Amino acid sequence: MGKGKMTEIFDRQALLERVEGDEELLEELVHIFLDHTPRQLDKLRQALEVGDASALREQAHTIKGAAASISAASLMAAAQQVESAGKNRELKGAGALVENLAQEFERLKEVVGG
Amino acid sequence: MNRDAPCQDEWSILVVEDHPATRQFMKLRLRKAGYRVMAAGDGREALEILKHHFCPLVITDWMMPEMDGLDLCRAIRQESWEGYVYIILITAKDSQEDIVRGLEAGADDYLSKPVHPAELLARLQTGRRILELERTLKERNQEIARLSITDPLTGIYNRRYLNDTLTVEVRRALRYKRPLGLLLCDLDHFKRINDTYGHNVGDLVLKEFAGWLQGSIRGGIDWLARYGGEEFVLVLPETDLAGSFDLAERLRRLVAEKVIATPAGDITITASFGIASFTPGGPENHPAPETLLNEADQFMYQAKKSGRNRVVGPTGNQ
Repeated sequence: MGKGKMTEIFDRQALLERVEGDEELLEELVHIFLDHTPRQLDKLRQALEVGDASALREQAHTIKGAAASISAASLMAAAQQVESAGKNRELKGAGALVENLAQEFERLKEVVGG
Repeated sequence: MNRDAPCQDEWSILVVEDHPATRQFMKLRLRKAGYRVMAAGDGREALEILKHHFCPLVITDWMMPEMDGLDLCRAIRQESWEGYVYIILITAKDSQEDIVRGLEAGADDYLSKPVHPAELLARLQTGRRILELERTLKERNQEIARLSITDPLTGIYNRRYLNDTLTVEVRRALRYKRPLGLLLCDLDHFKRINDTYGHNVGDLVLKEFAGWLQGSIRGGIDWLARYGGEEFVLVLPETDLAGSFDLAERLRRLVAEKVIATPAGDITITASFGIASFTPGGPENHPAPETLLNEADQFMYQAKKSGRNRVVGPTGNQ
Protein backbone atom coordinates (compact mmCIF):
# COMPACT_ATOMS: atom_id res chain seq x y z
CA MET A 1 0.00 0.00 0.00
CA GLY A 2 1.39 3.40 -1.00
CA LYS A 3 1.65 6.25 1.47
CA GLY A 4 -0.99 8.24 -0.39
CA LYS A 5 -3.49 5.44 -0.01
CA MET A 6 -2.59 5.07 3.66
CA THR A 7 -3.40 8.66 4.54
CA GLU A 8 -6.67 8.34 2.69
CA ILE A 9 -7.63 5.52 4.98
CA PHE A 10 -6.39 7.29 8.09
CA ASP A 11 -4.66 10.67 8.12
CA ARG A 12 -2.95 10.44 11.48
CA GLN A 13 -1.16 13.74 10.98
CA ALA A 14 -4.39 15.63 10.29
CA LEU A 15 -6.06 14.16 13.35
CA LEU A 16 -3.01 14.89 15.49
CA GLU A 17 -3.21 18.49 14.36
CA ARG A 18 -6.85 18.67 15.26
CA VAL A 19 -6.21 17.35 18.77
CA GLU A 20 -3.35 19.83 18.96
CA GLY A 21 -0.60 17.26 19.32
CA ASP A 22 -2.22 15.32 22.16
CA GLU A 23 -1.17 11.74 21.31
CA GLU A 24 -3.02 10.28 24.25
CA LEU A 25 -6.29 11.93 23.24
CA LEU A 26 -5.77 10.78 19.65
CA GLU A 27 -5.42 7.17 20.78
CA GLU A 28 -8.50 7.50 22.99
CA LEU A 29 -10.63 8.92 20.18
CA VAL A 30 -9.55 6.22 17.73
CA HIS A 31 -10.23 3.58 20.34
CA ILE A 32 -13.74 4.89 21.00
CA PHE A 33 -14.38 5.10 17.28
CA LEU A 34 -13.23 1.50 16.58
CA ASP A 35 -15.30 0.33 19.51
CA HIS A 36 -18.46 2.16 18.49
CA THR A 37 -18.54 1.71 14.71
CA PRO A 38 -19.39 -2.06 14.57
CA ARG A 39 -22.64 -1.29 16.39
CA GLN A 40 -23.47 1.33 13.81
CA LEU A 41 -22.66 -1.08 10.98
CA ASP A 42 -25.10 -3.55 12.55
CA LYS A 43 -27.81 -0.89 12.59
CA LEU A 44 -27.01 -0.12 8.97
CA ARG A 45 -27.49 -3.77 8.00
CA GLN A 46 -30.74 -3.93 9.97
CA ALA A 47 -32.06 -0.88 8.15
CA LEU A 48 -31.17 -2.55 4.87
CA GLU A 49 -32.90 -5.79 5.87
CA VAL A 50 -36.19 -4.11 6.72
CA GLY A 51 -35.88 -1.78 3.73
CA ASP A 52 -35.88 1.40 5.82
CA ALA A 53 -34.26 3.91 3.46
CA SER A 54 -34.37 6.86 5.85
CA ALA A 55 -32.81 4.88 8.71
CA LEU A 56 -30.12 3.76 6.28
CA ARG A 57 -29.48 7.34 5.34
CA GLU A 58 -29.34 8.57 8.93
CA GLN A 59 -27.00 5.83 10.12
CA ALA A 60 -24.70 6.35 7.17
CA HIS A 61 -24.72 10.06 7.86
CA THR A 62 -23.65 9.49 11.45
CA ILE A 63 -20.80 7.23 10.37
CA LYS A 64 -19.78 9.79 7.77
CA GLY A 65 -19.57 12.54 10.37
CA ALA A 66 -17.64 10.40 12.83
CA ALA A 67 -15.24 9.23 10.11
CA ALA A 68 -14.60 12.84 9.15
CA SER A 69 -13.93 13.64 12.79
CA ILE A 70 -11.11 11.11 13.04
CA SER A 71 -9.76 11.88 9.53
CA ALA A 72 -10.72 8.59 7.90
CA ALA A 73 -11.41 9.82 4.35
CA SER A 74 -12.05 6.49 2.57
CA LEU A 75 -14.51 5.39 5.20
CA MET A 76 -16.19 8.76 5.00
CA ALA A 77 -16.51 8.46 1.22
CA ALA A 78 -17.96 4.95 1.53
CA ALA A 79 -20.48 6.20 4.10
CA GLN A 80 -21.36 9.08 1.81
CA GLN A 81 -22.28 6.58 -0.94
CA VAL A 82 -24.59 4.68 1.40
CA GLU A 83 -26.14 7.94 2.55
CA SER A 84 -26.85 8.92 -1.08
CA ALA A 85 -28.37 5.51 -1.79
CA GLY A 86 -30.63 5.95 1.22
CA LYS A 87 -31.56 9.44 0.17
CA ASN A 88 -32.44 8.31 -3.38
CA ARG A 89 -34.19 5.19 -2.05
CA GLU A 90 -31.97 2.92 -4.16
CA LEU A 91 -32.04 -0.01 -1.79
CA LYS A 92 -31.14 -2.54 -4.48
CA GLY A 93 -27.56 -1.44 -4.88
CA ALA A 94 -27.21 -0.40 -1.26
CA GLY A 95 -26.24 -3.90 -0.05
CA ALA A 96 -22.97 -3.79 -1.98
CA LEU A 97 -22.29 -0.26 -0.74
CA VAL A 98 -22.83 -1.28 2.87
CA GLU A 99 -20.42 -4.20 2.45
CA ASN A 100 -17.93 -1.84 0.85
CA LEU A 101 -18.30 0.38 3.89
CA ALA A 102 -17.70 -2.58 6.20
CA GLN A 103 -14.54 -3.46 4.25
CA GLU A 104 -13.29 0.10 4.53
CA PHE A 105 -13.77 -0.16 8.26
CA GLU A 106 -11.69 -3.38 8.32
CA ARG A 107 -8.95 -1.60 6.37
CA LEU A 108 -9.01 1.26 8.81
CA LYS A 109 -8.67 -1.14 11.73
CA GLU A 110 -5.61 -2.70 10.05
CA VAL A 111 -3.97 0.64 9.38
CA VAL A 112 -4.65 2.00 12.83
CA GLY A 113 -3.82 -1.17 14.68
CA GLY A 114 -0.70 -1.97 12.54
CA MET B 1 -4.20 35.98 24.24
CA ASN B 2 -4.01 32.55 25.79
CA ARG B 3 -7.05 30.63 24.67
CA ASP B 4 -6.65 28.06 27.41
CA ALA B 5 -6.72 30.55 30.26
CA PRO B 6 -9.58 29.59 32.59
CA CYS B 7 -12.66 31.72 32.12
CA GLN B 8 -13.03 34.47 34.70
CA ASP B 9 -16.40 33.27 35.83
CA GLU B 10 -16.84 29.69 34.83
CA TRP B 11 -19.12 29.23 31.83
CA SER B 12 -21.25 26.13 31.61
CA ILE B 13 -21.53 24.55 28.24
CA LEU B 14 -23.69 21.67 27.09
CA VAL B 15 -22.34 19.40 24.36
CA VAL B 16 -25.03 17.43 22.53
CA GLU B 17 -23.55 14.77 20.28
CA ASP B 18 -24.53 11.16 19.70
CA HIS B 19 -21.15 9.84 18.66
CA PRO B 20 -19.08 8.97 21.75
CA ALA B 21 -15.71 9.75 20.14
CA THR B 22 -16.72 13.25 19.03
CA ARG B 23 -18.49 13.84 22.33
CA GLN B 24 -15.43 12.83 24.32
CA PHE B 25 -13.16 14.97 22.18
CA MET B 26 -15.29 18.07 22.64
CA LYS B 27 -15.69 17.43 26.34
CA LEU B 28 -11.96 17.18 26.98
CA ARG B 29 -11.05 20.06 24.71
CA LEU B 30 -13.60 22.43 26.20
CA ARG B 31 -12.67 21.46 29.75
CA LYS B 32 -9.06 22.23 28.92
CA ALA B 33 -10.22 25.65 27.72
CA GLY B 34 -11.74 26.28 31.16
CA TYR B 35 -15.41 25.55 30.48
CA ARG B 36 -17.59 23.53 32.77
CA VAL B 37 -18.86 20.87 30.39
CA MET B 38 -22.03 18.78 30.45
CA ALA B 39 -22.73 16.23 27.74
CA ALA B 40 -25.83 14.61 26.27
CA GLY B 41 -26.33 11.96 23.58
CA ASP B 42 -29.46 13.47 22.03
CA GLY B 43 -31.85 16.42 22.22
CA ARG B 44 -34.20 14.92 24.76
CA GLU B 45 -31.40 14.20 27.21
CA ALA B 46 -30.05 17.70 26.56
CA LEU B 47 -33.37 19.32 27.55
CA GLU B 48 -33.47 17.28 30.76
CA ILE B 49 -29.97 18.43 31.69
CA LEU B 50 -30.75 22.06 30.86
CA LYS B 51 -33.79 21.99 33.13
CA HIS B 52 -31.67 20.90 36.10
CA HIS B 53 -28.50 22.74 35.27
CA PHE B 54 -28.83 25.81 33.13
CA CYS B 55 -26.07 26.23 30.53
CA PRO B 56 -25.90 29.49 28.56
CA LEU B 57 -23.89 27.82 25.80
CA VAL B 58 -25.10 24.81 23.83
CA ILE B 59 -23.19 23.05 21.07
CA THR B 60 -25.35 20.54 19.29
CA ASP B 61 -24.98 18.04 16.51
CA TRP B 62 -27.74 18.08 13.87
CA MET B 63 -28.38 14.42 13.12
CA MET B 64 -29.12 12.47 16.29
CA PRO B 65 -31.54 9.74 17.31
CA GLU B 66 -34.66 10.56 19.41
CA MET B 67 -34.55 14.32 19.07
CA ASP B 68 -32.28 15.95 16.50
CA GLY B 69 -30.44 19.26 16.67
CA LEU B 70 -33.14 21.25 14.85
CA ASP B 71 -35.87 20.06 17.19
CA LEU B 72 -33.61 20.81 20.14
CA CYS B 73 -33.09 24.38 18.89
CA ARG B 74 -36.84 24.85 18.56
CA ALA B 75 -37.53 23.32 21.98
CA ILE B 76 -34.94 25.56 23.65
CA ARG B 77 -36.42 28.67 22.01
CA GLN B 78 -39.94 27.73 23.06
CA GLU B 79 -39.14 27.63 26.77
CA SER B 80 -38.08 30.49 28.98
CA TRP B 81 -34.76 30.12 30.74
CA GLU B 82 -32.92 32.12 33.36
CA GLY B 83 -30.87 33.72 30.58
CA TYR B 84 -30.28 33.59 26.86
CA VAL B 85 -29.09 30.26 25.46
CA TYR B 86 -26.51 30.67 22.72
CA ILE B 87 -26.70 27.69 20.38
CA ILE B 88 -24.05 26.52 17.92
CA LEU B 89 -25.28 23.90 15.49
CA ILE B 90 -22.71 21.43 14.18
CA THR B 91 -23.30 19.22 11.20
CA ALA B 92 -21.94 17.58 8.10
CA LYS B 93 -24.71 19.30 6.16
CA ASP B 94 -23.49 22.44 4.51
CA SER B 95 -25.83 23.43 1.72
CA GLN B 96 -27.21 26.95 1.88
CA GLU B 97 -30.69 25.58 2.39
CA ASP B 98 -29.54 23.58 5.43
CA ILE B 99 -27.84 26.60 6.96
CA VAL B 100 -31.04 28.59 6.59
CA ARG B 101 -33.08 25.78 8.16
CA GLY B 102 -30.67 25.63 11.10
CA LEU B 103 -30.77 29.35 11.74
CA GLU B 104 -34.55 29.45 11.36
CA ALA B 105 -34.89 26.72 13.96
CA GLY B 106 -33.14 29.04 16.42
CA ALA B 107 -29.41 28.35 16.15
CA ASP B 108 -27.15 31.37 16.62
CA ASP B 109 -24.18 30.01 14.75
CA TYR B 110 -23.20 27.15 12.55
CA LEU B 111 -20.09 24.94 12.20
CA SER B 112 -19.30 22.19 9.72
CA LYS B 113 -17.83 18.84 10.59
CA PRO B 114 -15.12 17.98 11.29
CA VAL B 115 -14.90 20.72 13.87
CA HIS B 116 -11.52 22.25 14.41
CA PRO B 117 -11.03 23.17 18.09
CA ALA B 118 -9.45 26.57 17.37
CA GLU B 119 -12.48 27.55 15.30
CA LEU B 120 -14.93 26.18 17.85
CA LEU B 121 -13.25 28.14 20.67
CA ALA B 122 -13.30 31.30 18.58
CA ARG B 123 -17.02 30.87 17.86
CA LEU B 124 -17.65 30.29 21.56
CA GLN B 125 -15.82 33.52 22.27
CA THR B 126 -18.33 35.26 20.01
CA GLY B 127 -21.15 33.58 21.88
CA ARG B 128 -19.77 34.72 25.22
CA ARG B 129 -19.50 38.27 23.94
CA ILE B 130 -23.20 38.22 23.11
CA LEU B 131 -24.11 36.60 26.41
CA GLU B 132 -22.05 39.14 28.33
CA LEU B 133 -23.80 41.92 26.48
CA GLU B 134 -27.14 40.40 27.39
CA ARG B 135 -26.10 40.10 31.05
CA THR B 136 -24.95 43.71 31.19
CA LEU B 137 -28.19 44.83 29.62
CA LYS B 138 -30.19 42.81 32.11
CA GLU B 139 -28.24 44.25 35.04
CA ARG B 140 -28.74 47.80 33.75
CA ASN B 141 -32.46 47.16 33.36
CA GLN B 142 -32.65 45.88 36.92
CA GLU B 143 -30.78 48.95 38.13
CA ILE B 144 -33.13 51.24 36.22
CA ALA B 145 -36.12 49.37 37.62
CA ARG B 146 -34.70 49.76 41.14
CA LEU B 147 -34.02 53.47 40.66
CA SER B 148 -37.51 54.07 39.31
CA ILE B 149 -39.03 53.02 42.64
CA THR B 150 -36.42 54.55 44.95
CA ASP B 151 -36.37 57.97 46.56
CA PRO B 152 -32.93 59.34 45.68
CA LEU B 153 -32.42 61.28 48.95
CA THR B 154 -33.38 58.68 51.53
CA GLY B 155 -32.93 55.44 49.57
CA ILE B 156 -36.36 54.15 50.64
CA TYR B 157 -39.25 53.54 48.22
CA ASN B 158 -40.80 56.50 46.45
CA ARG B 159 -44.38 57.50 45.85
CA ARG B 160 -44.58 55.56 42.62
CA TYR B 161 -43.80 52.31 44.44
CA LEU B 162 -46.28 53.25 47.15
CA ASN B 163 -49.06 53.75 44.58
CA ASP B 164 -48.37 50.45 42.81
CA THR B 165 -47.68 48.25 45.79
CA LEU B 166 -50.29 49.54 48.22
CA THR B 167 -52.92 48.39 45.73
CA VAL B 168 -51.39 44.93 45.81
CA GLU B 169 -51.25 44.86 49.62
CA VAL B 170 -54.89 45.94 49.93
CA ARG B 171 -55.97 43.30 47.44
CA ARG B 172 -54.03 40.63 49.30
CA ALA B 173 -55.48 41.66 52.67
CA LEU B 174 -59.00 41.48 51.20
CA ARG B 175 -58.48 38.13 49.50
CA TYR B 176 -56.94 36.37 52.49
CA LYS B 177 -59.03 38.32 55.02
CA ARG B 178 -55.94 39.62 56.85
CA PRO B 179 -55.52 42.92 58.70
CA LEU B 180 -53.51 45.73 57.18
CA GLY B 181 -52.14 48.81 58.96
CA LEU B 182 -50.95 52.07 57.47
CA LEU B 183 -49.09 54.88 59.20
CA LEU B 184 -48.64 58.33 57.76
CA CYS B 185 -46.04 60.36 59.58
CA ASP B 186 -44.94 63.90 59.10
CA LEU B 187 -41.98 65.69 60.67
CA ASP B 188 -43.09 68.55 62.91
CA HIS B 189 -41.94 72.06 61.99
CA PHE B 190 -39.72 70.79 59.21
CA LYS B 191 -39.93 74.09 57.36
CA ARG B 192 -38.39 75.75 60.41
CA ILE B 193 -35.38 73.40 60.24
CA ASN B 194 -34.83 74.22 56.58
CA ASP B 195 -35.21 77.95 57.20
CA THR B 196 -32.94 77.97 60.25
CA TYR B 197 -30.15 75.60 59.25
CA GLY B 198 -30.42 75.40 55.47
CA HIS B 199 -31.48 72.67 53.07
CA ASN B 200 -28.36 70.54 53.55
CA VAL B 201 -29.20 70.09 57.21
CA GLY B 202 -32.85 69.55 56.26
CA ASP B 203 -31.82 66.75 53.91
CA LEU B 204 -29.66 65.21 56.63
CA VAL B 205 -32.61 65.23 59.03
CA LEU B 206 -34.85 63.54 56.45
CA LYS B 207 -32.23 60.84 55.85
CA GLU B 208 -31.79 60.19 59.57
CA PHE B 209 -35.52 60.08 60.12
CA ALA B 210 -36.07 57.62 57.24
CA GLY B 211 -33.24 55.47 58.62
CA TRP B 212 -34.89 55.25 62.09
CA LEU B 213 -38.21 54.25 60.58
CA GLN B 214 -36.57 51.69 58.31
CA GLY B 215 -34.67 50.23 61.24
CA SER B 216 -37.82 49.82 63.33
CA ILE B 217 -40.01 47.79 60.97
CA ARG B 218 -40.06 44.07 60.17
CA GLY B 219 -37.79 43.41 57.22
CA GLY B 220 -39.43 41.67 54.28
CA ILE B 221 -42.96 42.30 55.64
CA ASP B 222 -43.44 45.98 56.47
CA TRP B 223 -42.22 48.64 54.11
CA LEU B 224 -41.73 52.34 53.98
CA ALA B 225 -42.06 55.00 51.29
CA ARG B 226 -41.51 58.72 51.05
CA TYR B 227 -44.93 60.19 50.36
CA GLY B 228 -44.05 63.84 49.95
CA GLY B 229 -41.49 66.37 51.22
CA GLU B 230 -41.36 65.39 54.89
CA GLU B 231 -44.20 62.87 54.83
CA PHE B 232 -43.61 59.15 55.04
CA VAL B 233 -45.92 56.15 54.78
CA LEU B 234 -45.39 52.85 56.55
CA VAL B 235 -47.37 49.87 55.27
CA LEU B 236 -47.87 47.09 57.80
CA PRO B 237 -49.33 43.85 56.46
CA GLU B 238 -50.69 41.41 59.05
CA THR B 239 -50.95 44.24 61.59
CA ASP B 240 -54.25 45.19 63.20
CA LEU B 241 -55.25 48.55 64.66
CA ALA B 242 -53.76 47.86 68.11
CA GLY B 243 -50.48 46.74 66.56
CA SER B 244 -50.42 49.83 64.36
CA PHE B 245 -50.91 52.07 67.42
CA ASP B 246 -48.12 50.25 69.27
CA LEU B 247 -45.65 50.74 66.46
CA ALA B 248 -46.65 54.36 65.87
CA GLU B 249 -46.26 55.19 69.56
CA ARG B 250 -42.88 53.41 69.68
CA LEU B 251 -41.72 55.40 66.66
CA ARG B 252 -43.03 58.69 68.05
CA ARG B 253 -41.02 58.20 71.25
CA LEU B 254 -37.93 57.06 69.39
CA VAL B 255 -37.98 60.15 67.15
CA ALA B 256 -38.48 62.48 70.10
CA GLU B 257 -35.59 60.92 72.05
CA LYS B 258 -33.00 60.80 69.28
CA VAL B 259 -30.50 63.53 68.64
CA ILE B 260 -29.21 64.32 65.17
CA ALA B 261 -25.63 65.57 64.98
CA THR B 262 -25.36 68.11 62.15
CA PRO B 263 -22.66 70.59 61.12
CA ALA B 264 -24.94 73.23 62.60
CA GLY B 265 -25.04 71.44 65.95
CA ASP B 266 -27.31 68.84 67.56
CA ILE B 267 -30.95 68.88 66.51
CA THR B 268 -33.93 67.14 68.05
CA ILE B 269 -37.15 66.60 66.14
CA THR B 270 -40.64 65.24 66.66
CA ALA B 271 -43.20 63.74 64.31
CA SER B 272 -46.97 63.37 64.10
CA PHE B 273 -48.64 60.10 63.14
CA GLY B 274 -51.98 59.28 61.53
CA ILE B 275 -53.22 55.70 61.42
CA ALA B 276 -55.49 53.89 58.99
CA SER B 277 -56.37 50.27 59.41
CA PHE B 278 -58.18 47.55 57.53
CA THR B 279 -59.79 44.77 59.52
CA PRO B 280 -61.38 41.88 57.66
CA GLY B 281 -65.10 41.65 58.17
CA GLY B 282 -65.24 45.23 59.43
CA PRO B 283 -67.77 47.77 58.20
CA GLU B 284 -65.38 49.27 55.61
CA ASN B 285 -65.19 46.17 53.50
CA HIS B 286 -63.57 47.38 50.34
CA PRO B 287 -61.03 50.04 51.14
CA ALA B 288 -59.32 51.56 48.15
CA PRO B 289 -55.66 52.48 48.67
CA GLU B 290 -56.61 56.16 48.39
CA THR B 291 -59.22 55.73 51.12
CA LEU B 292 -56.61 54.38 53.51
CA LEU B 293 -54.20 57.18 52.67
CA ASN B 294 -56.91 59.85 53.06
CA GLU B 295 -58.01 58.42 56.38
CA ALA B 296 -54.44 58.36 57.72
CA ASP B 297 -53.91 61.86 56.37
CA GLN B 298 -56.97 63.18 58.24
CA PHE B 299 -55.83 61.63 61.52
CA MET B 300 -52.34 62.99 60.96
CA TYR B 301 -53.88 66.44 60.46
CA GLN B 302 -55.76 66.05 63.75
CA ALA B 303 -52.49 65.09 65.45
CA LYS B 304 -50.91 68.28 64.15
CA LYS B 305 -53.87 70.40 65.20
CA SER B 306 -53.94 68.97 68.70
CA GLY B 307 -50.33 69.93 69.38
CA ARG B 308 -48.03 67.71 67.27
CA ASN B 309 -45.70 64.93 68.48
CA ARG B 310 -48.59 62.52 68.86
CA VAL B 311 -50.41 59.55 67.36
CA VAL B 312 -54.05 59.72 66.22
CA GLY B 313 -56.06 56.86 64.75
CA PRO B 314 -59.60 55.52 64.27
CA THR B 315 -60.31 54.96 67.99
CA GLY B 316 -59.29 58.46 68.96
CA ASN B 317 -56.24 60.03 70.53
CA GLN B 318 -53.64 57.98 72.37
